[in-house]
Amino acid sequence: MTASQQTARHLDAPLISLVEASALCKRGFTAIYPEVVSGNPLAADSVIRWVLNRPGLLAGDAVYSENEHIFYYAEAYRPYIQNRISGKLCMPIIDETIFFSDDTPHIHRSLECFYVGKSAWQDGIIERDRAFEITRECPAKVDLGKLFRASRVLYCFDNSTALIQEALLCGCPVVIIPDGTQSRQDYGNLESCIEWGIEGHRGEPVDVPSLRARYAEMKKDFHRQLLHMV
Amino acid sequence: MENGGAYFRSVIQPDIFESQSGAAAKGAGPERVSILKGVVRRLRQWWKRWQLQREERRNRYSLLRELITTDSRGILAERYHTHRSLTCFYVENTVWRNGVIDRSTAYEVTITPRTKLSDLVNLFRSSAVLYCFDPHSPIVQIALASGCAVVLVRVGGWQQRLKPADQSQHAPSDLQATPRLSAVCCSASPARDSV
Repeated sequence: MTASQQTARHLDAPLISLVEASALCKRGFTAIYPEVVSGNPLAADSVIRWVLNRPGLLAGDAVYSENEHIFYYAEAYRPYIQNRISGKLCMPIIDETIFFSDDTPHIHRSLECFYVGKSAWQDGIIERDRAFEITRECPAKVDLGKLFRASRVLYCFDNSTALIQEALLCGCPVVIIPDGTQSRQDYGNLESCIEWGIEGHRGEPVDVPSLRARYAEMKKDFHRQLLHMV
Repeated sequence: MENGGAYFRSVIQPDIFESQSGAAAKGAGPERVSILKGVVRRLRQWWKRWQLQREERRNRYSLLRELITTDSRGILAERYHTHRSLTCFYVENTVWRNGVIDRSTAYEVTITPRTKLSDLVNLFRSSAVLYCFDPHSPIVQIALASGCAVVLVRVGGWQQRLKPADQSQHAPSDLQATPRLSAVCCSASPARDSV
């Protein structure tokens, strides 16, 4: 792991400097770049490109080198990849000790939240003063689960965020405000759980057990996908 | 006994003992000075840290007061009933005290420069109680005005419980003005319980 300030403690991914990473790449190590990194800055002979969003949407190139092995994170991004695809790598990143449902009855949930994130605020959809804003800085991740368990709804302006699944696992219904980057079909197996647009909001409770089952399946798939990539 | 006393005197030898202890005291002089210097350095560090914390707290208070005065726009005056399922606590720079509340289940309220009054009000409207470890913070006023009960946690485990004033007794316009807001909070009869 390089060019970062922190790494997950439970993973075997130590932080190294760019110089060290470059030296390792010269010795034949494979570099894995996210889609927001342009080109091959470490000059590695073997490169894997992990497409975690639409290529070129946030940063980086829209088309990658022919020599790179392309892996995508979610089916939603697959149609936008113009290179030959080597496989899928969908790593489950949700901390289930924080994001779980405690069977709080739906009628006891009173808070309304919204998250703008990488997208932009759209006027006329919800009243900003009536809802609690979640930002990248506040609240802390450990408190997000508690907040979602008390929330009636999360209005999500960012169409591509892990917050959607985290809220659903806490039993908080999610209303996605379309920003043009995704369609409802892009959400795959989450499609039936989310509400698309404010007009589609019916306020129905989330079927958490089926979501958990799907998430467990996703974790199983990840091991297979990782072995394939290695 | 006499023999025993003679033995004691011979072993102790007061003159030798005094001269030895005097020499030891002279030898320990530089050590004592270095210990004192260390203590002074630590006291200075502690003083600087305390001043910094005080400054931060003042800034946060002024931010909250500013929020109340400039950003209220009638938000606090609105009254509607919601189900209160959250338990919150507010620590910031004050000292966390064990045994008051389960930190793993309660939501920690944090104030950042991006915090808006409406966020705090919406949060407290869904909260049953706020445990405030900083009894002088203006956040108490916001919580009470939002209908959320407050428990002030003080030194030594003392708790002071504040209930929000009966909302039906106050016209909405009464709550819009900040001086009145503090008056409403003061009128909430605090019941002091020792824990």
